[in-house]
Amino acid sequence: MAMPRTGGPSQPDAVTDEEFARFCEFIYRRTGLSYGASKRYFIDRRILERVERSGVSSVQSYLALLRFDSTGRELEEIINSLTVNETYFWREEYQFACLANSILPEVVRTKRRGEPVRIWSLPCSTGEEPYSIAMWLLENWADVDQYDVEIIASDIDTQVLAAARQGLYDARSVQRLPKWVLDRYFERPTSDRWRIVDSLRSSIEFTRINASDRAQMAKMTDIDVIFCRNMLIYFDDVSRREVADSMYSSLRPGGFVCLGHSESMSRISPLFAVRRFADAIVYQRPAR
Amino acid sequence: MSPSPNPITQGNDAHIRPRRPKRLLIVDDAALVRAYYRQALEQPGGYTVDEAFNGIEALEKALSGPYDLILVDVNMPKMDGLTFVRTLRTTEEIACLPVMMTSTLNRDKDIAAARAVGVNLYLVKPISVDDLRLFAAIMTGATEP
Amino acid sequence: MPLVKAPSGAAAPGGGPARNTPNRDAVLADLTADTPDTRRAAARACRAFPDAVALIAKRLEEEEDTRVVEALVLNLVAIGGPAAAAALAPLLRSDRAGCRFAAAEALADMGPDALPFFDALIRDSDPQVRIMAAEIARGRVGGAVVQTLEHLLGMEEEINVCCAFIDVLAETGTADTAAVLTAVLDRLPEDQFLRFSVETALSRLPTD
Repeated sequence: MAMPRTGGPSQPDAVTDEEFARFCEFIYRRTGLSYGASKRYFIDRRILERVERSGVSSVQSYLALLRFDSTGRELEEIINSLTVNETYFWREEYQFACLANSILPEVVRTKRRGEPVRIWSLPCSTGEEPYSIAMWLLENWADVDQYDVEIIASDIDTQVLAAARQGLYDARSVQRLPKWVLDRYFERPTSDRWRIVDSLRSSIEFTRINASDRAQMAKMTDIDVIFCRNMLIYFDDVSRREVADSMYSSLRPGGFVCLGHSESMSRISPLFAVRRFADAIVYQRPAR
Repeated sequence: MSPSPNPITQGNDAHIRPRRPKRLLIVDDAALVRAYYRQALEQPGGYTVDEAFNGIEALEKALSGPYDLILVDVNMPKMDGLTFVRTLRTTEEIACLPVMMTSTLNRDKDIAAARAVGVNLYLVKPISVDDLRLFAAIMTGATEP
Repeated sequence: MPLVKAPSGAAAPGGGPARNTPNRDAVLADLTADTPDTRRAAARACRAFPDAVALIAKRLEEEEDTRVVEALVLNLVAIGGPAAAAALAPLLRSDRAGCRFAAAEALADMGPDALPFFDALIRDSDPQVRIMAAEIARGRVGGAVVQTLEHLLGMEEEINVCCAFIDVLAETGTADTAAVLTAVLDRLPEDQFLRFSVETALSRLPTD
């Protein structure tokens, strides 16, 4: 289990059961990220990496550093390390499968003729998620031709929004995509760049939104599905509850929220019902 | 520790051991309570134990089950034990799961409230290891009649 | 292509017309409306009236719908200050479990404004209130909450209250907490759960 160490002799090379339990409890209470014993090896490695990088002498000291670091920087570092903070196409694709196989069939059951299906990617970062949703639905949702689908993509950061609108990606971003998807939805301006085709880029509404701003959030209405992955884990308890409260109000009754892998609404908000589908657990604004 | 011999840990009373590993879900926001129940029931009780922090996480886990028994606290953040059991009893796939509620609340009205939402057994904390094992065995049908 | 661009007016924040300030009387009347959706909308809107703290608190005592309770509690946290904390404190005695914990969590989130109420509630004559009050110490109240818990643990007679304090101290305590924990075992009658709590907490405390 122990990692090879390059540091000084005083550095720990293992995490005890009690340290693991204490770390998981802290991370869950602080971020809502939930890890069971099956993730032990993964978690231990992340902890020991951060112990080494932060230069403390023991896992216990590292836990103290996490708890008392008022800048929140170390907490951000460990979250990044736990969630593998990177974005690429079809990341955590089981949720897109859940969208096409289970969520949307339920959503459209109560749609009137001509009423659009509205899907919101928040935060959308550089666009991989909203484009992934679009491509997945076009390829995998049997009823896609029968409904108008609106995809709205929001982020607080205008620079990443500009990049998302541009839709230009490198090999790492597109590595998970099958060739036929690349052929159908991408152009190749250069040999190492892929650009989303105009028709797809222009069909997505990109808009700047600060999720913590209640007034901005209140203008988003009648949403059927919100993808909110790996954002709330960076917020404090009150901000998370506020965002969840705003999302609830933006959803149509019966609408859904999809959180990231290992994220759970259980630490965030009591507003939503838990729904288990074949591909994923998601959260629903009760229909009534 | 009680000086009297413990029939469960000594293992010579097979009638209160589960016949096959039963799965329990322990629901309590207090980490030490979860750890106590786990050590009482996992070894040598022979149960497979999962944990949840509150009612919402418990619903997530229960829906991913199956479980033979849920042990649930009352006072928990975001979704309390009573709301959890009420929701459980109206959720098709898991409506019939046996629920043992454990709480520091010991007034008649607390117990009546638990019964009203569909709790099967109510135990007042603190609970001894022997009692936990005995009642878990009864509730999971691990005992002879 | 079945993808259609969403109307930008509807999605673009800042582009729409300025919203009218909600009518105070109408909002307060809607707080007791029959439908939860109406009450919830009113609960969200009443944040604009910081003087409505007492009314929000009263509504919180009676409100049964989780979604409305959540909006009311978030208001009090956002409004903040001693008046909001004072409105939350009595709810730790509520007969409804959800309400009790929502109030404790809100006080925990409120920061130093909650400290005087924590100091009183953690010494309440009702052990159930002391147990709920310990939850506040997990939050951002600051001050000497850890020392307060350690001090009171040295005198507490109720095993369930001791275990609630120990659970919080296992998370927030320091190396100095160990002596207080050990002393509890010497002082109180033997109990398996208490012994387990102390031993596990000792193994989780920092050592330096």
